Amino acid sequence: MRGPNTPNAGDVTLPASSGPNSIPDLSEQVQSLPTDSDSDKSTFYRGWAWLVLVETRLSPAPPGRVATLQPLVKSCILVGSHAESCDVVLASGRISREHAEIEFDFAQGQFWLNDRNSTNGTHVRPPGGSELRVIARQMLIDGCQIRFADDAEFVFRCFAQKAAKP
Amino acid sequence: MTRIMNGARVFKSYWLFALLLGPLMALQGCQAPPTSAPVATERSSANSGSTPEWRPTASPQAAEPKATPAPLLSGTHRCAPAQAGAPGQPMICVRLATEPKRGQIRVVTYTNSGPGAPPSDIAAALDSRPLRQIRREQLQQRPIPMRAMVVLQLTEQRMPGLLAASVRSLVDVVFLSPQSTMGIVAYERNHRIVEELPLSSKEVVLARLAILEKRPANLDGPSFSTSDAVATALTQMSSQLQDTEAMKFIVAISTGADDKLTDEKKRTFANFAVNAANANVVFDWIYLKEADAGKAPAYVRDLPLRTGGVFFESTVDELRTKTDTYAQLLRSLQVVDFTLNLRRAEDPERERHRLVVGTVAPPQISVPLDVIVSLQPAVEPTTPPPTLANTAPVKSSARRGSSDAIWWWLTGFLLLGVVGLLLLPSVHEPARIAFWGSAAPLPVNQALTIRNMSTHEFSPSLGRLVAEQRRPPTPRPPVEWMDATPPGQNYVAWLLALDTGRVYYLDKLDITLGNDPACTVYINGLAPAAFRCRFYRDPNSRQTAIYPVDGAVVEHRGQRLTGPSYVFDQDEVRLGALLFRYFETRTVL
Repeated sequence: MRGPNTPNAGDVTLPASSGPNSIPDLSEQVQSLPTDSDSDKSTFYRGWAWLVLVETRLSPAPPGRVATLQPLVKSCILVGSHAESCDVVLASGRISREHAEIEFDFAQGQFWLNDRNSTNGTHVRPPGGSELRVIARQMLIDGCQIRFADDAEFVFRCFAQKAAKP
Repeated sequence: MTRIMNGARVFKSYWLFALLLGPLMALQGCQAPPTSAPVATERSSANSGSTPEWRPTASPQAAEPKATPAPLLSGTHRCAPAQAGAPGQPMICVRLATEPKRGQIRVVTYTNSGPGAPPSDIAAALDSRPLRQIRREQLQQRPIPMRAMVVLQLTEQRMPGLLAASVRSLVDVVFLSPQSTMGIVAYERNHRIVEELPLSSKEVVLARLAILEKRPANLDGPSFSTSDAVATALTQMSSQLQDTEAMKFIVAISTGADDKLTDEKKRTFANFAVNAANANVVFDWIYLKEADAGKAPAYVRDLPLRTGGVFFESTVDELRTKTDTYAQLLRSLQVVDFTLNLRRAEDPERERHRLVVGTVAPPQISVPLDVIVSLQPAVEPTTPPPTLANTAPVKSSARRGSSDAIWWWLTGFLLLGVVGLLLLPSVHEPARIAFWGSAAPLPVNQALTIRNMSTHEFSPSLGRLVAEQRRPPTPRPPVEWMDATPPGQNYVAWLLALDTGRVYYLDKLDITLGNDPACTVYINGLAPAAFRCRFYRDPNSRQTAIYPVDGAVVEHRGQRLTGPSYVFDQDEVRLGALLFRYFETRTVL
């Protein structure tokens, strides 16, 4: 079930809204992103995302079942096998050092998956759809499955909410 | 320009501070004026509020060379000639005593530089005949007035003629000066005070003595003793006007036998000694004892000495002789000549000494003031006996000379110079960083800065500027792993607080959320009162149900719940004042 504020893939223009906001101000990031109109400058999204591990052949296994992504802390989450540079570290020989990245678009409240020229590829299966390999940039919606090479498969959960720029 | 003005302002206050602090520090270092005599300083500290008795008209520096006598004071000292000691040993050359001011004289130590002879300055002072003559003539022209209180212990019968004659001899001596006054406190031991005459003239005293001689025995009344009688006499004397030119003393002719009985009397005596010293009164005691009795108790003997007085032990038969000796002592006080030498010690570590030497008219009476003359090699001065004089604390500042003032000035200016350097912006900032490290720079609030006063053009609002300024990222990991699967289950569920952005994982099958400390998950801000809401996973239906507990306001899909209700993925749940979104995901495909 999708809530009224959950953005869809085609949402471009969104009405302005306001409410209590205890998270850091990210207005500067809104301004840094390209927007179509001036009215979009007054709104931005804040989002939450989770990667629920459903299948893995990693050794060692990830430290938990659920990885909570913090787009407000870092808008671009890098996934790979390199522990020093990646935010989600998947220790496997088939996973590239910098395999893919999950990016949050604050202006439109959408999550995107970018494959960073990984060797064994990144695959996305939307809910009710078929799996496809991410070539360059793929939008992520709530409930889609992400497979990094053949070693780790996650269910991507996300939620974005409009917030007004002060 | 502003910085220059600030620096100038800082330097201005700094120099003002220096100009104010310098003299204060100098004054602190020179509290005792170098021209004042140390004895006078002690006297004033021991007897605050009274007029200093030492009135030196010349400074110690002016008293150089050594043998030059200082101007005479208000003749209150009597001395005995020097006595030679063994070579190489400390030699007590002068004994001086029994007068209020001499009791405050400190014990002085002279180091003799010559082999086996008294110091030249002492000898010269002793041989200062012209000075003595001048002084004697002055005294004969103007005898020193006395303020005397005589404490008499009467017998239970009439006053014996021996005692009356002794008192009359004292009266004759005291009233050598027409300005002298005398009082009488007569008491019967263990009974009462029968006569309490304040300071009066000679005629009044003689008349009262005549009455006392004829009075019959009176055995009633409270118990009195010597200590009470002398305390009464001291009270009488203290009530009189302060007369710094006169010698004030109390002489008791009593046994004091009752005072030996109890310790309470000893404490009374101790208080009396302090009060007498404060009142600048000397207590002399002609102690009557039995012929076969031993020495008087130590505390009885010490009492007059603590006040600078003399102590005579006498039997009844010796009373007249002792009284005559004491009368001659009093007489000598009025004709005594003495010199006062002020000299600076050769050893700079020592204080300036005040030496009082002189002779008395025969018969010579030795009274205690120790002036120790030591021969080479120098012998350390003996510790002075604990008298009221030398137990008075001497301020350390009194030991400083005029050079100390310069030292204080230099120290003060050096200190202020360092402080002033630290106040300089160019020095202050590196010093602050060196000592305390560099702190995070405060952001400059440009919004509060007036851009143009003439056009009243102000900068944009503060909120806009804060939004434009980049802030450092929150030190929080961008990814947090959580093993939130309930035991034995293949799903994960969590609640997202849309208002606060916090995520609460339901990692147990039965979990209670609320603001009550007993809850499994504590969530602040749900409700002002206690709030509890239960999330329960039904193992049969594999669905999560929500239970409001104790009437908690729980809304599911916009409707308030009154009972349990299943909750599904992406459902919005309002728990009290906060809105949550429920997430649930299977962990197996």
